[in-house]
Amino acid sequence: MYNSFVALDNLNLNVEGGACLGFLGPNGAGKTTTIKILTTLIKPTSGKAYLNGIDVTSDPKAALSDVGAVVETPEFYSYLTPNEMLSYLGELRGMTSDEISERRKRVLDEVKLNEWSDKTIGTFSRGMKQRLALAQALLHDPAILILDEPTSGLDPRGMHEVREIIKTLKEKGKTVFISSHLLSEVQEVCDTVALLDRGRLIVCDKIENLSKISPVKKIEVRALVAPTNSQLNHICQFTGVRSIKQASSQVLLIEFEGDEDSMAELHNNLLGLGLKMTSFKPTGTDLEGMYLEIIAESVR
Amino acid sequence: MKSSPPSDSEQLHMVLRYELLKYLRGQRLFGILIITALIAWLMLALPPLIGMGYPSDVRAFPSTFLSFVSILIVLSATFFGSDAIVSEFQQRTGYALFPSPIRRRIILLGKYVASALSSLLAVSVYYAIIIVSAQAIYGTLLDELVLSYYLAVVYMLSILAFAFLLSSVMKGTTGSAVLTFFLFQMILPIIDFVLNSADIDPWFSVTNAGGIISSILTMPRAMGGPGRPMQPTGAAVGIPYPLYIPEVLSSLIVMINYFAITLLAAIYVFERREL
Repeated sequence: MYNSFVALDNLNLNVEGGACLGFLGPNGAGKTTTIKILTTLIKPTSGKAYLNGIDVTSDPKAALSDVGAVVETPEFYSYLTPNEMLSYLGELRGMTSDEISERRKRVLDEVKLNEWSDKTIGTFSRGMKQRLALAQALLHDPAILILDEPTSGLDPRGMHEVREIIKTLKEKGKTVFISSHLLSEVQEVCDTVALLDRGRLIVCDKIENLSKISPVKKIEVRALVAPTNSQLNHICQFTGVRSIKQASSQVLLIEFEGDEDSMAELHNNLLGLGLKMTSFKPTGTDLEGMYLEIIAESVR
Repeated sequence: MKSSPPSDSEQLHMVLRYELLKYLRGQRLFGILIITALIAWLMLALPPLIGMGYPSDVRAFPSTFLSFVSILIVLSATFFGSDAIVSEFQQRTGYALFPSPIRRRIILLGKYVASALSSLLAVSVYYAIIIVSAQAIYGTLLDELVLSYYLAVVYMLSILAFAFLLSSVMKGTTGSAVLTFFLFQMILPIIDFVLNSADIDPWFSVTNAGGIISSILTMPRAMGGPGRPMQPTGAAVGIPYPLYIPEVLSSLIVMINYFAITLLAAIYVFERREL
């Protein structure tokens, strides 16, 4: 609670060991507040937060010992090099000098900063600092990773690399807690999603279950020749078609409700109409539909 | 890899080492030593250069030097203490450090010890110059000079603790530095001056207590005994109001209290400050 504003309202969330949970919600939903409580950057006015079963407010030192975190885009001491910064953080965690030099090399390699390991951080771009942030979170090979917008500030290649790192962590059985605005990113790497809105937990479930909440899909159809009015009228009457929008003369956006079989049938029907299709593809993610549906409901 | 975090004292040592590295790489330590040398050089070189020579009284020579010790201490507090905590918030470096398994009080104490050691170096160098020069010019060493050094160290610790409190409370590094410098160099001395002129003993003021560092040589009555007030009278030093001279013991008590209270307050604020 900040003055009278309730940032988190009775949030009760349990993340199982080995799960990769995506933490979603609109701006101001309370995602970063949750992460800051977990990483002891702020203290809750009431309630408890546990990491590995240890209360972070009463024993932060023990609670954070097996946790790696990236909160917002952190800054690092500009007078240190990545090697020195990682040594400092590794020493604070009780790693031996041999462990530090071995892990430091490995994580800097993973985030593609090895060429910069002895340059002072003061000269780094935002993206490089974000890579270093991920490196320091991975340094001690923690069992739990708390990542707040881990791909923020990265170029597309960097985003892809970070997603691959998270997938590897998931394969290794690490518990990963990711806050992100990028639904496609969450859908790609997470198996469970928690949705937060105005400080309240709206839903927390497996992605495959959540996808069923919104059966409406958007399909983009591109044709070689612009469809005629008669063809458009026919499309509107096909089973499952909710609405149709012409994005350009040759591109149609169809809002469609149905399963995979119905979609295949729609594809055949379009061909049957004589539409010379060059592509037929669902746009957006399943998660996007669910997200918008649930948030809209929560606002109502 | 599951390693348990080191003990608090080991972590304090780590914070201390990297903080000292910051002072070295940021040229702050070098800067304060240059200032120290410059003050000492001016005090030693100027009198002969303008044909004035050194004072004949052996007490007057170090006394002139000692009047600049408090400025050196305030500069050290500004250099090393004023941004120690606030920078973690303003420059967002706390986002990397605070989620580490280390208590915030250890971070603060590690930084405090680093700043105290750096300030101690500057003060010690300054006193070493005074002692060596006094020995060379007058061939004698005053006991009060050694006592003055110990008092200067206690004063330095209290001013640094106060600077850390300001750093824990302030929002920006520049504001914290400016406030630290002007508070101890201007605001509190003005309050001491006004209280003195209103015939009120500012015994509770840390800057007034710090006056003992230099007054110990020129005003031996400050060395003890009751009857503190009105000695010497203002008229004796050309000021038309009574001047309250601090005593060693009461000054020590005031400085130690400032040190303990402000350092504890700094820890209290820092542990509760949100990022």
